[in-house]
Amino acid sequence: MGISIGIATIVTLGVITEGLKGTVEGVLKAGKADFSIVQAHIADLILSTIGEEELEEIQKMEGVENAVGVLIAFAPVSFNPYFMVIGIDREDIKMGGININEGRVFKKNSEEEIILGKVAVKNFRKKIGQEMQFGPRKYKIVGIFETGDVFQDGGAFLSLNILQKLQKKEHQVTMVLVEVEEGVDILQLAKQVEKKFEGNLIAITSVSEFKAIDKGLEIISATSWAISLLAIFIGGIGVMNTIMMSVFERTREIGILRALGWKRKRVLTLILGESFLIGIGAVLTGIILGIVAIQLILLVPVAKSFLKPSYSLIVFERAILVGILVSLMGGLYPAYRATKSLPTEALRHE
Amino acid sequence: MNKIIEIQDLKKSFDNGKIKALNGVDLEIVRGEFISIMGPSGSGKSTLLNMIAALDTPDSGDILIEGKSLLNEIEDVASYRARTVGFIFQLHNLLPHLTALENILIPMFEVKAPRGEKIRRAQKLLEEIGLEDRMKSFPPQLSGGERQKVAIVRALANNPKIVLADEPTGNIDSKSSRQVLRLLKELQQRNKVTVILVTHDSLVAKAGERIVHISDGKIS
Repeated sequence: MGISIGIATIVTLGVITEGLKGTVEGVLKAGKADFSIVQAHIADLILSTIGEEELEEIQKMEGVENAVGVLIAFAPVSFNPYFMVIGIDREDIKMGGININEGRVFKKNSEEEIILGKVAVKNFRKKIGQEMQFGPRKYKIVGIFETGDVFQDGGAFLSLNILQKLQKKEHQVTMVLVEVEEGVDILQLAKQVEKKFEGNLIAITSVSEFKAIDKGLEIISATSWAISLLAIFIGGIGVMNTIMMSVFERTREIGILRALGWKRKRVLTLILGESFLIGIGAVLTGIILGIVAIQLILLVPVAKSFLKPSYSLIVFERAILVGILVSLMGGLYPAYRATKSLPTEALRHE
Repeated sequence: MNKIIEIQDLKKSFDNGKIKALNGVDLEIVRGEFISIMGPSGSGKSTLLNMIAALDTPDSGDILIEGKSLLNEIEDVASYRARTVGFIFQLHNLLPHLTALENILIPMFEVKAPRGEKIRRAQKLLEEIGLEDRMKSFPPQLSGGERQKVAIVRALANNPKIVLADEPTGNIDSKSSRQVLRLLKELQQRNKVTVILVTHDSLVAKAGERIVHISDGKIS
């Protein structure tokens, strides 16, 4: 059980961390966008500011099929202090990768209408036609959308100019989503954008690039790594201790096997083989426990708003590797000690 | 006379030399002999048996097995323990999570033979001692006498030349004790093995053809 809990910790934290990365990637690579452009040298994505003139320049660049500006803001709504509100022009909805599941898109320049994400509908128990308040005023929900990104689906979209007014950010956007023309090299164009704006803007084609400019994600990433390492360490110590104790308890048995003519190598193979099997069993149980823990975490509404668990292979590979390695290491030392001593010494062990 | 074991001035002490378990033991044992080594508790008899079984090493002296030094000339000690000697412990030392049959198979792991052949031999050994219906029983399901009988046939699993029995009747009732001694005697005569029995009980020692006494680590 000690081993399984260690593995469960590794799995739970790994799945959550990978999920967070996926959420950020979803925001950056919305819909048809091949890459995104944000302001350089910022501590957090939300602080990025791009002017309308810059947006127009990007739109005119060779190789750019379409460039769309979006404004991102957060507002406290009920239990969720980070309700995401995104401003986008009505005609750019498709470019943003927004699919309307129910109802319709808000009218152009409508000050009263919003569309609400699928996750937010569930979390706040809202329906089309109902009202929702964030900031100083109430909005009417006219449609329900889905992007596939839990962070966006946990928020709302409304007309860009209305959000700009509300946020006092007229003629400004947070990021620009760029779709390139067919046959154009995405990375090449991204580099050209950065060159054109002399390093004031950064083109992001992957999450790893985003981490380089957004300190928030970097902190999340570093913290999750630290927690994962701690989980591996604590879990690993637990696994090793359990295996070591079980092998120490079998010192007498090892003595009997040696007295009956078993070679040291055979005894070591037996113990390590058993440790390996225990490790595999614990890994499987730990993975199940970890998945159950994630499901329990998702019962918390605020967690559900921005967390989409990512059951990626790397998390399970890490858990399997740690489980098996520490099981073998835990078995190796006491087995080596027991086989190294004379059978009479091992036989005296109670 | 065909000597199978020759013990020369064997010495062994414990606790940094404070306890002298063996204090210069000399003993010769003839092939096929049933010898009882008798002595009180702490006399060094079990230590002597452990040395012959290569379960422990002496401080000085030597043990010759068929003329070869156990300390210097027999390199593969594991193979010696598995094939040349069979050890019967005072506390049967059967592995509780293995069946009687599986316990007998343990020493056979170091012998190259088809698994089926090994199983047949183990079954035959259990049949010989009348425990054919207890093959699949685990040690806790067996009586004290039955456990010791299984331990005896385990010692014979690889047809050893020498059987070493350390107080084999020490933990069983008198009826089982008689059966165990009879079995040892039968096996010695049938298989022509050399049996060395260590005991503090003079009645048990009488099972041997020759009795040697040991006290304070010396053969008297």
